[in-house]
Amino acid sequence: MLKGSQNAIAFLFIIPSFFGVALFYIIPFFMSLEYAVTDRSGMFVGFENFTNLFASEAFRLAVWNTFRFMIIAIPLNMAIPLFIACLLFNTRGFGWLKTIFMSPLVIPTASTAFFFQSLFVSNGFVSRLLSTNVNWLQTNHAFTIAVGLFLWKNLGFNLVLALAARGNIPKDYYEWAAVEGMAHVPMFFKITVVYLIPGLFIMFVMSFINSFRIYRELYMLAGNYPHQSIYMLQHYMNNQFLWLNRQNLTASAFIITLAVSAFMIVFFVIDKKFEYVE
Amino acid sequence: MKKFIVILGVLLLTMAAFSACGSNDSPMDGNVENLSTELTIATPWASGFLEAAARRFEDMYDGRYTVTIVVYDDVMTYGQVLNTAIMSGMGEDILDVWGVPWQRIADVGGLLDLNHLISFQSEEFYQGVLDAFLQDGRRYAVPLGFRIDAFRLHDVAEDYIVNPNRFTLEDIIALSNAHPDRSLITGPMGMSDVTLAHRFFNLYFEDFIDLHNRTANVDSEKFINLLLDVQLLSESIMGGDWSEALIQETVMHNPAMNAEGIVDNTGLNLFTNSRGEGIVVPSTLFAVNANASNPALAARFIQFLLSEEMQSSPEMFGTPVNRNAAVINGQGTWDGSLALGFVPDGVDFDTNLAVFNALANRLTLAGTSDPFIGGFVSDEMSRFFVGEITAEQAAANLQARLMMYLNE
Repeated sequence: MLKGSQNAIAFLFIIPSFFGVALFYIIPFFMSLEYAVTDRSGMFVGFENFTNLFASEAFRLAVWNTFRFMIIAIPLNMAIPLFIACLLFNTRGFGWLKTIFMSPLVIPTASTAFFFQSLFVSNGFVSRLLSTNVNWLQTNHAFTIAVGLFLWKNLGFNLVLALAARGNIPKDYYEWAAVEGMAHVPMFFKITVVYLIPGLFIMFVMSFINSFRIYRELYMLAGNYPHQSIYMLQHYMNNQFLWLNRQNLTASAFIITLAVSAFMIVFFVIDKKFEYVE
Repeated sequence: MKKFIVILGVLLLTMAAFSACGSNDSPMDGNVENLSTELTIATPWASGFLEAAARRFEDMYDGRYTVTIVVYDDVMTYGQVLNTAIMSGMGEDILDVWGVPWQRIADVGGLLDLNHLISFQSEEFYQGVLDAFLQDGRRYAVPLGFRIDAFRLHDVAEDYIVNPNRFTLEDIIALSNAHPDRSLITGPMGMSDVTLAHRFFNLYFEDFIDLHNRTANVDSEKFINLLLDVQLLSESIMGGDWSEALIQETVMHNPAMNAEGIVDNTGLNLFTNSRGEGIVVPSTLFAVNANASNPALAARFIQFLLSEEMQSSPEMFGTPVNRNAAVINGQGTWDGSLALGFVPDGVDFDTNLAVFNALANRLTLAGTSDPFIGGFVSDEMSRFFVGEITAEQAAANLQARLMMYLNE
């Protein structure tokens, strides 16, 4: 714990950064609350904009798609790197695989979108392979493509995190467990998984943040109004911004901020419970 | 620390409170004399007509008012820039809104109802053309000129016309079925299946999309049948270009500007819905920004654009909505064509004008100029006609995309 004087010094260091964040994020955010509770003429309308928002099919679709994407993509983006990390950890000569997995992360968004477009448009690689002329980005498969793109882009980063977390588990634990006669599978769940939990939390937070960023690629792939299965919250909000519908934009921003904040609070409470592992 | 939080909180609340301050005065309450003397016009095209109108308007009032035309270079982003400006409480006073989703902007209060400022009920106008752009009785957009989307049948096909006052998709099918020898028929100007389907979609636009209530109804038998009927024509007759079988050419008819249209307009037909109504193709469409600094002056300028003087000017593009000006322009073009030997024997100007008026009087539909809706429709129709999806899938996809867009 920091003492009183150390607290003061810590706050001094934080102030410049906090000033910037407050000026460009916090203050505008709260100032925009005005739009969320007024109509276009500036009349106070209470929670009407919020009720309109929940009545909007487009908003509900965007929320559902974003939620569905997170539920599917985030666990996959944690499980697959973890599995690969466990395979690679004790295997020599596969360091180059890490480079390969990491490379999509440094490819510019526009190039990624162009590459995926060349694969899935009606005259793209996949359609030619299947001798058809389907634009896969305008079918229900668009969601699967979005998940695939997300994994392709972010898997490498989580792989590095998983390898680092795996490397932090002392070898002694495994040796002791082996001496006690523990089999490989119980060893994995009782040692590897338990001691990977702090690393998993970091992987989860990064995946959670990156799952919102998939919008950039989807926007470049399919524009403002993509197939309904990949119409995300950012599509909705970006379109509200384009139409300068401040009421819907701010109301949705507040709802999302509240939802993400509530989720993160719950998440950190759970994280605290696992602190003993560290 | 607590004090710091309290000070920050007070600061934030104060800023939020001040940000709500501002004038809510309506410029509609003012009159021409007491408000701004400068009028601005936004357009994506440089227009000789507008330029001439601006100078004449200034001269008419001895320089008391100035008219500035702002030409936006990027046509593609024009609509979005316009929307952003209007929603930010800015933008030019008068707006060229053809190709812009003006109904959507009007729905959120971005445009003024011109019925409050100008009387449009007059014998001198093609009333149906003007009224086609009414939205729930409100007049947000006014066409200055228009063209008729007509077509000319092959001589052999003319014998099979079902009803000369309407030409629906059903009539086209009946015509094609009745024709004895399709192999005889060829033509120089065709029309793709997507274009034809899109035309009929616009003719039945109000059955498919309710812009005011933000709903779509395209996952219906009617839309599916529209696609299937056009496909049937396309496959059974031509294998791709149905119109060559029956239609000699399509004509954007305009007696004032299109000399070729004058030559033989007695053989022209109009694409219509089952009620015999056709679509107005406006050459220009103007609206007044709700943020206009002097709405009365803006309305006065639009009234000037609709006057016989301006509508009959040589710079006018399209057929004027002012009937008198249309006659003046048409006569001038007719005489010019006569001098050049374009006008055939046995057709006089009065006959030509009567045919034109008969067609123009049936134009009562505006469709939509919303590029997003047009894009969705063309996109899904194209995918159907190239065989990528079924008609049912196209209808379902289009319904989903339209609802997504309309519900935002």
